[in-house]
Amino acid sequence: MIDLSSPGAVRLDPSGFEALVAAARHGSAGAPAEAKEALADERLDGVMSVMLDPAAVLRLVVAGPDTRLEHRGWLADGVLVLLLGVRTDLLQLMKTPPAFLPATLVRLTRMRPRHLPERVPAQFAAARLDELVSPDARLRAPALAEANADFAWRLDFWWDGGGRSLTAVDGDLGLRFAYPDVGRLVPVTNTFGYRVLSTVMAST
Amino acid sequence: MDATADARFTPPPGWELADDRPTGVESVALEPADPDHPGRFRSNLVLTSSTTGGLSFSDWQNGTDELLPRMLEDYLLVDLERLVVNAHPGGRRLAHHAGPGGQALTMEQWFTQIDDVGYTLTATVETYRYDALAEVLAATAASWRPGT
Repeated sequence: MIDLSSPGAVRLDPSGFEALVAAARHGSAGAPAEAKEALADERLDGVMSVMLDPAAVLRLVVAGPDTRLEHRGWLADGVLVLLLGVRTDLLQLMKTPPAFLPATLVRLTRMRPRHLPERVPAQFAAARLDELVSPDARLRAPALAEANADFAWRLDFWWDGGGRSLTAVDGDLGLRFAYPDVGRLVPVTNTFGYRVLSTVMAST
Repeated sequence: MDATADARFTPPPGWELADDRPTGVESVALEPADPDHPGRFRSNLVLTSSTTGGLSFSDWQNGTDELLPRMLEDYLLVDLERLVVNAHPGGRRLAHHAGPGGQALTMEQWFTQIDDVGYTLTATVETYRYDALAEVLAATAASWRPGT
């Protein structure tokens, strides 16, 4: 499914996205009609070329005990293409100026001011960080409970020659970053978190 | 009126205090223009004061929180905290918004109320430069002596 009927971002399901990428990569001859139509849509001008030949790629997983959303991004030539997970079966494809990536990440990670209690670092084994954002809720839910977190997120950003990865948890105890080298979840301010997110692209 | 005397804060090194400023604005400090990027957004600090009309500190700031999303495009509040500003109860907020030229901007604001006057020091920078400037802006805020 590729929905071009509504204004704004293009909405599609995972199979529609795969069809779109295949049509862009191999040519639209023989592609499904909706993929051909989508490639001709002006909202996708300059989008597929960035996705097929990006200078940098990002993936953000935001996961609670019951829900898990994956967002993806491709960066090239001053264009940031985002594939946002609205639901597990519904995606939103859009482009935005790269300068707005930090704000997008703030929104997607639901970073917001909270009234916070006294906070201290907590032990959390590095080997279990993947469980916080695991596709398997049977692993994810207990890991989040052990971390005293409402939800977690994992940001991976990589480019030719390098990459960065960051795992965080959030909830009533506020934003905490995972420091795998010491096996700890360390409380940070939103300002600190924002500074980190604002530098994600700097390394590229 | 002498801009330096009115500033009541120490601007970052090299920034200039503007003599020409709008009504209600006590001080404006601008980072130096970049000759290599003449159209680039110039980071700035703006100091304002206004009567709070008998409002408590909390009510004044709650009103500000309601007003900012209506004034600034794509406004996104990131952080908000209470803190002491020059021995007066105050606070700090960090937000993202879109500038008039479509820039991605970060706004950091320190504020306090003394008697019936609300004082606000607002820093605005392009978001991709915020991390590099954050410490300098914090030092400027620490130098601020509102109401003196």
